[in-house]
Amino acid sequence: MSDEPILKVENLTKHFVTPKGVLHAVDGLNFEIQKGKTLGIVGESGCGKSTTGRVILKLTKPTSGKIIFEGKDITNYSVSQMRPLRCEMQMIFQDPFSSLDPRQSVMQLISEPIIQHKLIRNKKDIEKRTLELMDIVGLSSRYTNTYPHELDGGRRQRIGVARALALNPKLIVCDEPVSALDVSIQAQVLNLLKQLQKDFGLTYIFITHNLSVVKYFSDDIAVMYLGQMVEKAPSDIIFDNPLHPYTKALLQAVPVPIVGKDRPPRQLIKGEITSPVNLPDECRFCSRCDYLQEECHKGDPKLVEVEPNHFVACARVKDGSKVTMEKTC
Amino acid sequence: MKEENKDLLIQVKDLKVEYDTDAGVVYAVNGLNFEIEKKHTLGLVGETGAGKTTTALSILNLVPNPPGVITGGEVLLEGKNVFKMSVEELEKLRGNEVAMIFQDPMTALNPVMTVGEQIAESVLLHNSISEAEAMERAKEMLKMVGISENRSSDYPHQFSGGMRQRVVIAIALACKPKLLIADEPTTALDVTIQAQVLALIQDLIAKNDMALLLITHDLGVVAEICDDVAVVYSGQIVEKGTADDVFNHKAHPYTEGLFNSLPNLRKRGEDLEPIKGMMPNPMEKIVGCSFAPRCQYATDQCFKEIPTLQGIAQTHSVACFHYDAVFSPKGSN
Amino acid sequence: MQWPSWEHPFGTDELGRDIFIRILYGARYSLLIGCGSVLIGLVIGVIMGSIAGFYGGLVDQVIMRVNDMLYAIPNIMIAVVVVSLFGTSTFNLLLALCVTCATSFVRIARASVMTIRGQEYIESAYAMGLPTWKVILKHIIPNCLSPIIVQVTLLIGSMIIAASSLSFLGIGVPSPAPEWGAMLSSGRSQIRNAPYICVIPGLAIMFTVLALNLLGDGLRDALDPKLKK
Repeated sequence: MSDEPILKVENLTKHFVTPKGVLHAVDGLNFEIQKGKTLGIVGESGCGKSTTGRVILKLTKPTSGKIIFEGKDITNYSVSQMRPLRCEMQMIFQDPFSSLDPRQSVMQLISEPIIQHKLIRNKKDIEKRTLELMDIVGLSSRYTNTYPHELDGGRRQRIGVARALALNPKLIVCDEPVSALDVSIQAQVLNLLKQLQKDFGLTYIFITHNLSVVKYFSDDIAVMYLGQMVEKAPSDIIFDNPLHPYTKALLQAVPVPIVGKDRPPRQLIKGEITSPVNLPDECRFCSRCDYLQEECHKGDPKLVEVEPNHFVACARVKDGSKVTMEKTC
Repeated sequence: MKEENKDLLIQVKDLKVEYDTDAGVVYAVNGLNFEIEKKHTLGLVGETGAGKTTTALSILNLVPNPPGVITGGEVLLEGKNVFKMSVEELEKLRGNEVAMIFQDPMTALNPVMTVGEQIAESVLLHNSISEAEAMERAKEMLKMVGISENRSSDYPHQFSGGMRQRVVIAIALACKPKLLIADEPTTALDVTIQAQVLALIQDLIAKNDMALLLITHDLGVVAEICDDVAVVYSGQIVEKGTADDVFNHKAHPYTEGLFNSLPNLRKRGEDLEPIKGMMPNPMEKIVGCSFAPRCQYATDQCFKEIPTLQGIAQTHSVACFHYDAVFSPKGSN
Repeated sequence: MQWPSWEHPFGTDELGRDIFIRILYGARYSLLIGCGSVLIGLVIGVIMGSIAGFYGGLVDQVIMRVNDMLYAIPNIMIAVVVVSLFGTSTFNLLLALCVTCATSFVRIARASVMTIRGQEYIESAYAMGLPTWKVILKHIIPNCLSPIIVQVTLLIGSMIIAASSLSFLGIGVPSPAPEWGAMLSSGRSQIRNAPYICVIPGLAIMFTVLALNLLGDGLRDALDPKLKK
């Protein structure tokens, strides 16, 4: 197994120019993913996780930074250079209602990528492959000629998965793939995704706001706030020892389905998520942080590896020493 | 078993609601029974299509007709049947004694009225006071939900999602209702904002001695603020009891299935246990237990007879013939 | 002038011409002008509107401002200008009317494209590697069809009325062509003693437009996959 990560992202930045000012969607993102692993990206509205997914797939051009896929710097690849790479990196979209063209049948939806990339030429073989894909994702063959609106959310999402798989990709960006589904259907789709990862050696970037799902599903987790990565660590470590104040607050805010003495204490975070437009030059979490100090206003804190594989961007947590986090307010 | 009737704020008895659509009849609610005592909170938990929102709308007789039709049962609010009330009586009830808040804060507010005006509107409707007094009350309500008073002349688009939901709560509570019905009030909000809004709701209902009917699919939210829980499946209540009863001593196979399909209680790497199959088609009248086709404990009896809610502990009832396969009473292990 | 009878089902006009035959021949003009102006306007309008909606920015601004200017000019004025420059003829009338049609299609196409462009299934098409022109042809335009079809049928009706109005005023199809509007106009003088000369062409216009509107409703429903069972 090579040590080369399948995807490496360096200082990735995406800004949007709006009439009100510059919108910092993604700022200086750095991470890498090994083949066959899952990186979970969590955060709330406006943190830039969805934009990150799209920039990595070059669905929108990055403002600056580098995207290195399988050793190749694809940052400045043109649309035609990206085309063959589309077979290697795919996306599963969030909304099973709006991510499928309502005018196409299930057969057309799943075979479209195959036809577009001319992976198979013979019509009969294309049909055969489509049925195979439907079987892999657990869609009965009797749905070949149905339309998306005739199916429920869970089945529609399976179509999305089949479409992403059709090109035999190596990397799949899953953008909130189960958020729109009921709990029992979520479980079915998550199991499917896990099985596919085992069977096909897939690498996932799993974008979600749902912390319980991400804990279950990911090897590593990156927490984003207002476009920046504030903490990154293996799944268990982030949950057992969150260091960034935002990560702590996020974990504590999740409503836990436990009643009785085992129920963990809740801590509320004050304030609202600030606007990502025209950000001042200080830590972006300042207005909501309970651990605020002078240094925090002096600029964006750098991402530092405080213990092996555990990265945090916070002025109070430095180079490995376990600084006790005392609240200042 | 049950406390005296005079502590009961609302009783829903054998509620049946259908929707008459072009494609056929949809049996949304099929014989629902529950009660809420004064100052208590009941969480109605279930997945999409279980009939929770229809139930909530029925309490205020707000089921759109057509195509909705209430085909049976009654809703007793302090002893009075809502379905037999006249239009005037219903108008006095809505917003005043029973208030409702909905899921999507983005569309719940009128974009061309200031938030102060919208809160005052509710107050003026149910109280004979002057406009100035109503505005004062509106400002008080804003303060109560954690929004600065001088924002009363701002428009909804100037607020974020979480703040809009707070305004919605302010409107609902403006007339000090006895019962607040909240239909997925925090589903559309970010996690940290959700926590704030839930804490706010919890605080306000305690301060104002209100009862709360919380409708949600999120078991975590239920655990957060509900005293009692009722699990809804296919238009019927399959299990109900206190939060401790339902979470720690579950008795119905569907409840068991729901908890088993949650990821956060599992270790990474293990497969989740989804409930196999799908919720039954609400256009088909079901013979026997509606959960039987998906149930691992089902026997012939389950496919022929409909199980009714029966008490299995002081506060706990379940509608299942084989609950003992799932249930472990308090005190055991 | 004869009132309707078996020999002349719609009667004859002030010059003794059989009205029934004239209505039938007149239909040609109405349908030709109505359908022709709408179809030409459709092609031009959908192309310009899709480009504006798809690319946005400066392209959008330029196209829309030109469109707004043309939209603001009443079609009767455009017809007057065209006719005074090029003379009265069926073809010139068609030309004048297709400007009006194009302007409304530009708006509709632009709005539809802007809505659809933001949908996730368009993003999904790009993620799959589909080139832009295919995305527009395969995914965007077919999903815009619904409002466009409705507009087509409504506009054909409006254009028939517009053509009739212009002919009524004398700047449409030159006489002695049996255009319905022209027939209406010439029947004015006899409205007291032979009202049928006016009324019958009027009814013809009315029923044609009504039929077209109903056709539009039906077509839109038939082409909507969401209504397939």
